[in-house]
Amino acid sequence: MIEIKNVSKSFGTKQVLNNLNLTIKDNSIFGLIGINGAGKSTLLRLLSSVYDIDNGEILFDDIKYKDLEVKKEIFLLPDNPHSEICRTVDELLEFYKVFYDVNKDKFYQFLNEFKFDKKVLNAKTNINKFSKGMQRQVYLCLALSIAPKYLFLDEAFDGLDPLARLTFKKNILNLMEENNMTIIISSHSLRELEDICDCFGLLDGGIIESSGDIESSLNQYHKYQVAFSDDFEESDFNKLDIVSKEKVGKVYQIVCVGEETEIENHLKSFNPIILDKLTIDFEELFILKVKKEGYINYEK
Amino acid sequence: MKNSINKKYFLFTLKKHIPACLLIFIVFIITYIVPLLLSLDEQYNMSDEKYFYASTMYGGIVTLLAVFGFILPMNSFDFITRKNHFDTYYSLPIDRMSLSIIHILVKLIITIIPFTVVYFVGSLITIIILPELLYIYYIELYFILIVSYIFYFMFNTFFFTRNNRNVDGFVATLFANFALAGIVYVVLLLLKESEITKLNAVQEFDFKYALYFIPFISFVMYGNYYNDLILAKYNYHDYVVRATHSNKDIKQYSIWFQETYKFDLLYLIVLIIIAVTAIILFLILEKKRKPENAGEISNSKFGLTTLNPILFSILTIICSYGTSFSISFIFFNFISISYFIVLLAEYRSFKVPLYKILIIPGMFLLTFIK
Repeated sequence: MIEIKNVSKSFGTKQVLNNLNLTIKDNSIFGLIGINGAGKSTLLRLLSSVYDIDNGEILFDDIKYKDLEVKKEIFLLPDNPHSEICRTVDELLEFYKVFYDVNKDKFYQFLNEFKFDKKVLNAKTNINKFSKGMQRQVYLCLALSIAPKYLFLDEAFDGLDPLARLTFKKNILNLMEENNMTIIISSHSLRELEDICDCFGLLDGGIIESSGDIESSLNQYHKYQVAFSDDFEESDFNKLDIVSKEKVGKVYQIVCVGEETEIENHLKSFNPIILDKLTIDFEELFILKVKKEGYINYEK
Repeated sequence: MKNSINKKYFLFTLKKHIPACLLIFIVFIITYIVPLLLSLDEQYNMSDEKYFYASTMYGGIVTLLAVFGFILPMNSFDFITRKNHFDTYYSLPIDRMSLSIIHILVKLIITIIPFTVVYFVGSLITIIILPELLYIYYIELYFILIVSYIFYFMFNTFFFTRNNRNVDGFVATLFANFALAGIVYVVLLLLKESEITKLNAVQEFDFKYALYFIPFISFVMYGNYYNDLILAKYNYHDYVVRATHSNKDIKQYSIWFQETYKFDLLYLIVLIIIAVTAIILFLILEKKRKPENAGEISNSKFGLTTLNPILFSILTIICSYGTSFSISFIFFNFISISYFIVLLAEYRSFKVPLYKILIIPGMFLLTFIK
């Protein structure tokens, strides 16, 4: 279990994390979300002890975060890994073998799954000449072949094509089950996170603004497409806890919080011409949450 | 031991540096063995009249060793200037200090091993050509050079690692090589001009003392000293030839010999004291390193931000001392422009703090107060 207690981190006068508290349970995939500059990468760097915390405490199963025994169980795949350190695939494996138990066979097995052409990628291939997406795939295969207890992936899906995303998602889920791993993924690809994450944390203003499991969070919100006759007034919505409202012509798209039947009964009481329940996804949930903080205003 | 050196990483890094080691080996051969072999014919066929052609030819390799002592610390700690390098290195399960020590050790090893081989091969070749040379002094010089190299390397390591960018680190390390000697020189100047020394009638100050504080000076001084000492017998013959021609007494030779080959350990002692201080500070400050500052403006008190005004203020004082108004003014222009260029490079914009700009009128005052 990872426990983050009252962690603060500032860069000069800029407070990035402010008394942040978060607990991530074992054997889970945690999606770390937030707008650009929210501090996602900083939090992952703190967890990997790349950065030092200003205040607070980070514990991995009650052991402090900078302990070398803990670090042996952590692998951070940063947004932009320092690839010049190893020129070839062989060198990359040799380098990480110094610190981790890298399974070379599994590494090549994962590369196969990512459909790497053996003519393109062999032990002597210079990986620095690869595209960003291809480099990312090689590093993801490395992370998967290490299968550490704690795996932190920054911008995990960045540069991956849809097929590679699918392959990665399938493998990461299998691996987590097999090895009891705890994985934290920061990404802006919320649809991908929705597929694999058990829970999420929205980082905003230096704290985890909201967290929990994705499904129950989505169940709290209800989205409707509704249209009324001319005698309907917008003030009739006032009894509902509306978090988002859009109007195109006579058609409203509203997102409400509350009991589903109560919301529907209330809307039906105005004899709507159209009343359709729409599905809400994780990306919309994210937009709704950050909208509350005033970053986005998409009301028309 | 929790903080012991990670042997696996040490061996991995060492193995990875084998090509670099071979390259250094070749460079040493080119700068020492090749010129030595080319001079072989000339030296071997010396007649009594041509003793002054006798030469150890190790000047190139000693200079190169000093150059490596300046450049390689920057190469060892290149990773501290980039955030993504920190992400990789500092997230690894290795103690930060162990990581730094391994990088230092490997760079020292890949230079010392080829240097040792080439140095002794070269000295053996020389002794074959010049059988009268005093070989024992080659061994003495070797140890002095290695000690000087290690401490000079650590001195430069300290100053380079106090900066957040490669360029800042390079300039700051270069400045640090002369700043201390400059400060000592200025202090000696002030003492010379002070009322106290005038009262005591002590007018003569040896400004050579400032040289002791140039960290690479031991390569120059001991290189020259041992060159003369190794070739003492040949120099003696040379002296005899010259003395005979000029009808001088041979007894004067012994006086000249003693004066010429005066050993001064102080160069090495001062270097060791400075470098040990730098090592202690390195060990303390490296633990407080903030990786988030990589690539940002260097703000360490031992970095470019401090060394830039110090070095150029010293230069102003030295250049304006004992010179006329017009010459001082020309120097002031050059120095203040240079200072401002370094300042712009440091901040990478024209938004420079006002107090840093105010140093320029300060320099102007220094120029004319004298």
